[in-house]
Order: sequence, then C-alpha cells, then structure tokens
Amino acid sequence: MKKIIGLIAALGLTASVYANENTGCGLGSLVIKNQNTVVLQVLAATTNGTSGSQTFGITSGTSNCDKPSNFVSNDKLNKFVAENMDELALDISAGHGETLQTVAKLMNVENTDAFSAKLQANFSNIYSNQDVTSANVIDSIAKYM
Amino acid sequence: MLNICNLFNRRSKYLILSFLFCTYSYSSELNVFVEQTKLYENPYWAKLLHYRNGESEIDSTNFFISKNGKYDLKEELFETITSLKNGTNNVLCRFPLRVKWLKQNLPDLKIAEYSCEELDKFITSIDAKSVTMVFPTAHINSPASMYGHTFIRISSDEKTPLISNAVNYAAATTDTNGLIFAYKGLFGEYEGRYSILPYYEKIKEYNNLEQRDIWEYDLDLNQEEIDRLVLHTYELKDSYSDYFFFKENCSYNVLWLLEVARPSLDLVSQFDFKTVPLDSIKVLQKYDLIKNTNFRYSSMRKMKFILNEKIQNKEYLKDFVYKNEALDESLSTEDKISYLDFKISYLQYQRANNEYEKDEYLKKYLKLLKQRSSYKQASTYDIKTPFDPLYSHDSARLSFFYNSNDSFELSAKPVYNDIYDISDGYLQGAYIDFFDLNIKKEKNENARLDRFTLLKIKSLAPQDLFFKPISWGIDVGYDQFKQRSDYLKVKPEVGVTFGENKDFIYLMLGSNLYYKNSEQLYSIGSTIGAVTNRFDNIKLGINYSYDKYNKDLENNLFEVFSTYKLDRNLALNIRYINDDLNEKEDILKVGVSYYF
Repeated sequence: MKKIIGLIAALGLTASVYANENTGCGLGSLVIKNQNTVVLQVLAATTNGTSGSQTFGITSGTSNCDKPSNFVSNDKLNKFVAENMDELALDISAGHGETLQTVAKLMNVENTDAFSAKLQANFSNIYSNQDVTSANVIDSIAKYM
Repeated sequence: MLNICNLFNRRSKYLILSFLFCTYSYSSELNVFVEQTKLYENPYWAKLLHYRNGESEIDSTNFFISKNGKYDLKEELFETITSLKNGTNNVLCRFPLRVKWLKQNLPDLKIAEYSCEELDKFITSIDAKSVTMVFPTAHINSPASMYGHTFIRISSDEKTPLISNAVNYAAATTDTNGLIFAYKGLFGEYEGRYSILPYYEKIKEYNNLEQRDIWEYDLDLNQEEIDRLVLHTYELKDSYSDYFFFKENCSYNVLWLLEVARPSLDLVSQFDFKTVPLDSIKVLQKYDLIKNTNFRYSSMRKMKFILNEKIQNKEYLKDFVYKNEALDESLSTEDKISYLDFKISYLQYQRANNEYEKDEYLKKYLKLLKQRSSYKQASTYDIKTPFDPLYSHDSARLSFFYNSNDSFELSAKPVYNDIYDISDGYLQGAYIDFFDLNIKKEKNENARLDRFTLLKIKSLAPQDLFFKPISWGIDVGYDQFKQRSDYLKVKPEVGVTFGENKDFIYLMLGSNLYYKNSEQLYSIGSTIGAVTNRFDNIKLGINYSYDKYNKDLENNLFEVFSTYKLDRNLALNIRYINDDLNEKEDILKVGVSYYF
C-alpha cells in the first residue's frame, strides 16, 4: 500500500474537482471539468472519492428562479426546466429526447410527438437568445400545448 | 387560603408521586418485557443501526441515542425507549423507522400524539413507488472509474425517471492534493455520507461529464419495503461513517439500505475485505431482486455511434466541426442532421472540458441548435445494448497453469480484469489488477514466489478522427529477472491505440525498472500488440516487445494468447511465449482460470 502511495507521490498529482458555475434559471449551467492529467487518473483509481454535493437536495424542492405565468405552482416542472435548460434546448432542436419527454409529461401533454414537432419548428422563439430564463421557456412552450 | 394552598401542595405532590410511580411501573413492565423477549438481540435492530462484528459501522454520534450506542445494542434500545417515553429529544421525528419498528414490537409502548413536519414533507416529495440500483460503469482511460460505482434511485413514476431521486454514498472531500486524497481514501480518513440528488444531476455527471455508460437494475421490492427504505434514508441524513475505498465504500454502504428495506436479505456480510461495485449487484441477483435491466448510454457512446455508424460521408466533417464551414450541399439530409448532432454533442464535450468560456459556448450552441431545428426529422439513436455486466465473470481469479518446460504455476488475485480475461461485461481495453500473486513449481524444486503484482493498470483507449486519448500503463510489483533473480519492478508505459468496437492495435513506449540493493537494471523499449474480442467466447491477442537494457542486455519478447470462455466463471487460457532472456526461449502455457 505504501508503495502505491509512494508511486502516486512520485508522479505528483492533483485530484480532479468539478466546477458547476451558475446553476439554474438560465442557459450554460453545464457541469465542467477542471483540466486534469492522465497520471492523475492513476491516483483516482485508488479512491473513488467525490467532491460533489453532499446534501439532501431532492428533485421536487422549489426552484429559486422567477416563476412563469403558467404552471406557477408546478414546482417539479419549474425546477426541472431551470436545471436542465441546455438539455431541453438540445431536445427541442432535435425534436426528440428524454428531457423533452419529461417536460411533456410534467405538463400533462398527451400527444408528445405532435408537441415535440411544434416546439422544434418554433425553437428560435422559445430559445430566442442566450439570456432566456426558465420562466420564459415555460411560458413559450405553454403556447404550443 | 393557607390551607387550601397546603392542600393543593399536598395534592400536587401526591399527583406527581403517583405519576412517577405509574411511569415507573409502566416502564419497568416494558423493560421486563424487553428483557424477556431479548428484543435487543433481534437481528433487525442490529440492521437498523448498521451493526456488524460487534459495533455499528456508523461513526457519527448523532446516529445513536445512548452514549455507548455504537458498541452496545442493548443499552441503545433501552435508552431509545426511555427517550421516546420522555419525549426529551427529537427521536420520534429523527428516527422514524426505529420508532415504527419499536411500536410494532412493543405493543405496550405508549407514545403521545406527535407530528413531524419535515419528515412528512420529505416522504411526500420523494413519493417512492419503485427502487432501482444504478451502476455507472467504467470509462476508457479513466481508471477513476475502472471499478464503477453504484447508487440507489427512488422513483415515483416510471415514465419520468429523470426526476427520480438518487441516494448516493460517497466520501466527502475538499482535498485537491492527490497524495492526501489517495491516502485518506484508502485508510478511512474521509467521512462517507449519504446524500440525495436529482437523478438528472447524476446523469449529467456520469453520462455527459465523465462519459460513462449507466446500467439501471430495477429492483423487485414491494411498497412496504420501499417505504422502509425511504424512512431509513431519512435516518441516515447528517450521519457519517468512515469511508474505506476497498470495502466500506459506496457500493457497500448502499447495500445497508436494501437490507433494512427487506429484513431477510443478507448482503453486507458477504463482503469482508473488498466490495467491488459489480459484485454488489450480482449479490442482488442471487436473491432474485432484479426484475428489469436498462442501459443508458453516455454522450461519448452517442458521438461514436454518430461518427462510426450514422454518418455515411465523413469527408467534410472535420472542417465542419473545427473550421465552422457551412454544411456541404452534396451531403444527404440525414448526413447533414448527423453532422449537426455530432457537432452539438462535441461542443458540449468541449465545454465540459473547459475549452470554451460560457459566453462563447452559448453563442455557438444556440446557433447550432437553431440550425438543427430547421430540419424536421427527429434524432434517434439505435445504439446496441452491450453485454450486461451482470453476466460477466466475478472479480477474483484463481488460475492454474502447466508450462511446457515441465513447471506449474498457481496464481490468485482479488481484482479485477486483465488483458487475458474475457472482456464480456467489462470495458474492453481497460485493465486493472491489484495484489496478483503467482507461485511457481519447477521440476525437482520447491515451489517459490515467482511474481507479486501490487498494482497494474493498462488503459488502451482507441483514438479516432476526433478523440485522441493517450494510452498508458503502470505495473508495480515484485518480479524476477532472467527467471532467477528477485527484483522490485516498476514499468510505466505510454502510447497510442487504434481500433473500433471489438478489435484494437496498440503501440506503447515503455521502460522496465528492476531494482535491488546490489543491482539496478533499466530498459527503454516498445511494444506493439493487438487484441480482438470479435468472436463470441474467444479472445485472441498477440504482442511483441523489444527492450534495450543497461549492461548491454537486449530482450525480444513475443507472445500469442487465446482465452476461451467455458462458462461465466471458467475460462481456458493458452499462451505461447518466446523470450530470448530465458534459458529455454520457447514456452507454451496451458491453464484454466476460475473466477469467484
């Protein structure tokens, strides 16, 4: 065991840390990886530690973002859209995807295919610019239900 | 007035006395009952407190009512009962499953009306209807993940798995120094805590950031069992247990939740010195707990699928992705869509790797999505589900070999998968072994230690048009040089791998360092090799290395091998080796490996 550690020490490593800048409400909250080296991974192989969140942050908690004018009290929907803005944009543009399906289900949309097609056709209206918020997106989507 | 007061005083004293007496007799009756039934020896009480080998594995004091709770089940039970009666602390709301179990087992236990707002809110928002064991697999070239990870998913609706809750156990750390990180992880210096996160956050972490595929195993638990799991999860909030990478790790600790959910399960006791995530899932299968399997591919697998299987004409792809050139008009509509789908995922990948600032990324991202949305077709990916890891060979191996020079070899290793092992269910090209011991018995001689591998990792990650991972390896252990002399050996390697799916070729530059007090040997050399997994149940490999040593030594080593899978846990291995440093250069080895 000492030798593994000696080896790791010899290689002089630092562990990877994930940075999640600017979570929620708008676009661009992708989790990003700090640059790391190949050798770093040798080290990580021996630990499987995490520097992630350690809280009890359940899915249906409330979102801190502005509320849309529709679906105001649908906490699940508001939180989900706020925290999946990039993923939802991708699914709408591609006309298909699990994030989009989840939104449709949370809005009680019955015909998901027709709904997806309509959203795809109106992508530019829904994600009109990069400062769009989750409340804007929900309100836009609601028009195509 | 005075009299009345006195009377009142006397009466109240009497009241207090009688009250005390009553509680006393009630509590002594209860205590007698507990003593008679030996409730504290009930195995479920031990499970609720994570007891194993005479103590609780939870290390934070807030998990126990009594001071000695970590070591004394009996004292803990009596103290819990006492505190429930007195209502002196928040046991009722803090440990709902313990309370529920005590009420069931102590019909005379009287508890005043109470309500727990936070707990009720927790239960309502989790709204648990089904439970899934989730297994993010390894990703090539990231040994951080070579053993995988497991956590539990609690869902309220099967149609919206993304908004499920993930119950995860992990070491909490803010250390960024590698040495400290490894040391603390191995020796229990970190606090391991349970946490709950939205499942979509875990998917982003594994599928999109770390590029690891995820396997989901739906568990056959009934509602009563699921409710117990939820209550127990709540009890574990704010508590911790020391995290040990090899045994008391993520996979080990989530098993406690299942044991508590279904009391008849005996899971953690099956792990004594190592808990490999894959093994912890296979244990569930023994109890017929897995009713359904689902595969969730990583973003990397999706990109490779678009790249290797969807796009017909790749001619303009590099320029389209790197130089922002317009889509070539000669491309088919399908290819245009695939070009865009690929570039969008690739952009996310670049952003995840911090290659773009947020603003620049968003501009590019929205522009591409807008362009993509102009094509009406929906993007779907018909990605083939790989071999289910549930049916892979177990993690420990025992091998017995006969060699053509009339010697025998016996080897044993606790984990995990090397280049000779069948890759079904494992990540191909990713090999990791710990503590591999090899004993050799030559004709007319005593058996002796031939080799001991402390740690051996090889990551052969194929490069393609866009992804250029570096392949590398490290091998540390005790070995022999020229068959007869003992050395400490270190062998680092670095190189490139090319290939797709089931076949690959690798080219490595490496160095052998042999060390002992009287002598040091070191070499520089290279290896070229190929492996194929294209045939069902048969693995074939070939490699040649040349090394130039100090002291004017040279070494040419050639090897061909084949492994044949007889059964999930049984394989036949044949190797031909030609090593010009040995007295007898040619050697044929035939052996059998058993996995357990």
